[in-house]
Amino acid sequence: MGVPVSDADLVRRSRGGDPAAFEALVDRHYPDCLRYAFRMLGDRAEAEEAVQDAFVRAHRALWRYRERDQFRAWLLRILANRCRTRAAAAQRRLRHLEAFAASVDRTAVAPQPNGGFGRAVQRALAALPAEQREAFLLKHVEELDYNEIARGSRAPACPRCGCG
Amino acid sequence: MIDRDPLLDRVIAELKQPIEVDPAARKRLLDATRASPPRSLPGAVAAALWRRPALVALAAAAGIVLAVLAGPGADEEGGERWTTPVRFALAAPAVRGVALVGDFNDWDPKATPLEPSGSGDEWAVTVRLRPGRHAYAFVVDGTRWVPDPTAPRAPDDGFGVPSSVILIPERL
Repeated sequence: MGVPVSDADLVRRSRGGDPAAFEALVDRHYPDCLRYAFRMLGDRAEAEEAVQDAFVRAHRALWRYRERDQFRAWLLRILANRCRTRAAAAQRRLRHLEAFAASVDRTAVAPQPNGGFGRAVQRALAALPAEQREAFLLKHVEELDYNEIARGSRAPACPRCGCG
Repeated sequence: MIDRDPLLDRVIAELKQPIEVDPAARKRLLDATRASPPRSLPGAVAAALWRRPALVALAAAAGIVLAVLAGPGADEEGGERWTTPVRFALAAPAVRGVALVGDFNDWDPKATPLEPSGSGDEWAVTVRLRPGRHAYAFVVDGTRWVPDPTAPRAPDDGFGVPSSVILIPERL
């Protein structure tokens, strides 16, 4: 029976210039990343762009990745940053569009009352402040532990080892 | 142990539903990563970094001296904006080499090596920086990422490696 290749091995091979190894990392983690970004941003195209941006940044910065970190957690933290940036930009765009939105016939686009549990959940998620949405998704959906989440937040650095 | 609300479990289960992957988006992503290859350290250095070096004795007398030297100069395009020479120094006895990495040199550990002092206890380099905020760190022996212990810590940029920050005013 074959032994699955670890993320660490794939990162090592990617650093050595093996594109197939990074492609394997993409295939392994793309679905979770897309799910996270879609839940954070609520828009598929925005989510796909955020995921692509995160993978490109991770690829370029592979040498800054340290093995004591789980690759998946490291990647999700990069993605969380990209989603924050995109969400902030979307908010700015939204403010510019407010005047236009006020003129739209809202009854034509209002959510339907029985739109299904999934849509209700997504709406409830979208109503959360971005920081709470991020923490909820990373903890309960992507199942990062609190230390892994904190390393991507503005939590103070560990005074002992400076691993902040 | 606190029982979790069954509705919360249902919400989480709903949110864990996978989103269908668009093969075209996957292809765009792979094309983009191929166009943007990893920045690499020299092979031996990269291998050492990968092994995640132990906390070394470097910290014994490590201190950092950062002096901003007065005096403007032309920027790299020779334009009208001013740059400021900044001396970065790290007290690091018994190491083989120290490099400065930051947003000003594209985090390239080969771009800005520090020179040892006569005694070899201190390493230093002077670089010209444009006005603004710069994140930086030191790479010791090609393997050890060392933020400046006396400078403000830069906000985490998501890469999981701490760095420091310096602000260069428009003019000194």
